[in-house]
Amino acid sequence: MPATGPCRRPEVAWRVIDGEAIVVNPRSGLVYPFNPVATRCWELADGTRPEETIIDTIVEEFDAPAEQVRQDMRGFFQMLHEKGLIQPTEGSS
Amino acid sequence: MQTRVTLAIADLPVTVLDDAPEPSEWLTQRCKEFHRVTPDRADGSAIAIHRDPSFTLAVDETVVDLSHESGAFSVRGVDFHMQRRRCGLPIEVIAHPEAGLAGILRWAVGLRLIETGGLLVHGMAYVFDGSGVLAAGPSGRGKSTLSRLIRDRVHLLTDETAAVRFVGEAPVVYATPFAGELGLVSGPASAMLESLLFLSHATEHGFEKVGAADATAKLLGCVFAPLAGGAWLDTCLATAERVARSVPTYAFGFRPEPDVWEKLSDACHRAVPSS
Repeated sequence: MPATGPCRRPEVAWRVIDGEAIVVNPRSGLVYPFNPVATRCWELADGTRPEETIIDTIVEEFDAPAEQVRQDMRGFFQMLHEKGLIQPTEGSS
Repeated sequence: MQTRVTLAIADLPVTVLDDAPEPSEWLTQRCKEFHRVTPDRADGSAIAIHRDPSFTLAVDETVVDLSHESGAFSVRGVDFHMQRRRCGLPIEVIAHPEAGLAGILRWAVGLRLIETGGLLVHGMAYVFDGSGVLAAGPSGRGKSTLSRLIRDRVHLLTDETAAVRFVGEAPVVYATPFAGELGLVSGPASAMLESLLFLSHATEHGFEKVGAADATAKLLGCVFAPLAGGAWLDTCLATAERVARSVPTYAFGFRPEPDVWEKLSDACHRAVPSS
């Protein structure tokens, strides 16, 4: 069944340490340390939630200006795509 | 003619069988202090190198495939092809006659360390007053410079490549024979790891505490091993976190001046344990 939202690539290794994810792309060997907001976003990106649903969740959970969070999250998902950390899904950019 | 030498690197025995016509000077001389004569242990491994004059040199970067089951791996370097069919079997290498043994062995040791809960790290390491310090950093971050500046003050384990393993719950830093541009390695010495630093050049000496997550990421960036996927990568990540949580971790920026030792000794050997 195809993912309905952003989905972490299965080959990408990751580990949450003190609330911050360390994500390693085995294709490039690059290591990405995520802040707590990005980490929560990454945890939610399991393919079951549309991108906008994840963003709504982040807006609810973190005390930050909603519009700024939305803008940042869209940029974050774009980065995840570009770095090959999540697989493209229908409806995602 | 075949060279057969057993080395102990980070206390891991590895028996090298090389059918090169002449024994490698690096193996017989530079590694001399790492030779051992005791019988193979259960945690030992063998690496059999067949020199093939028809070996085609690769033009691409090293290609690694660690995604197999059962501990199998394959590493295709510029002048060698290494593979192990499964955990416990010898590592088989087909190499160009001129392929350097150090480059081949570094891969083998790096992979063996990962699967035994250790790491091979781009870092200079030293012992002072019984405490081991590992100062890690990719190329250009000052490993050789710092080694040169403090070599008369400390027992230098390595100027380039250190190994870290756990003895019980305690992290231990080891010298390896894989020297850097200074060619400085001690014999097979080791020490309890008490501090982990991440090096960079700076206009002033300065320390900054690094949290466990950031330290794990920085350490992974210094591991000599392919972050190439599968269970290997998960193990590597877990070990890096374990090391990062075991000792105080700092970013250390320094300028190449002799007074760096004053700053380093203050931070690593007096102030840090109480922080």
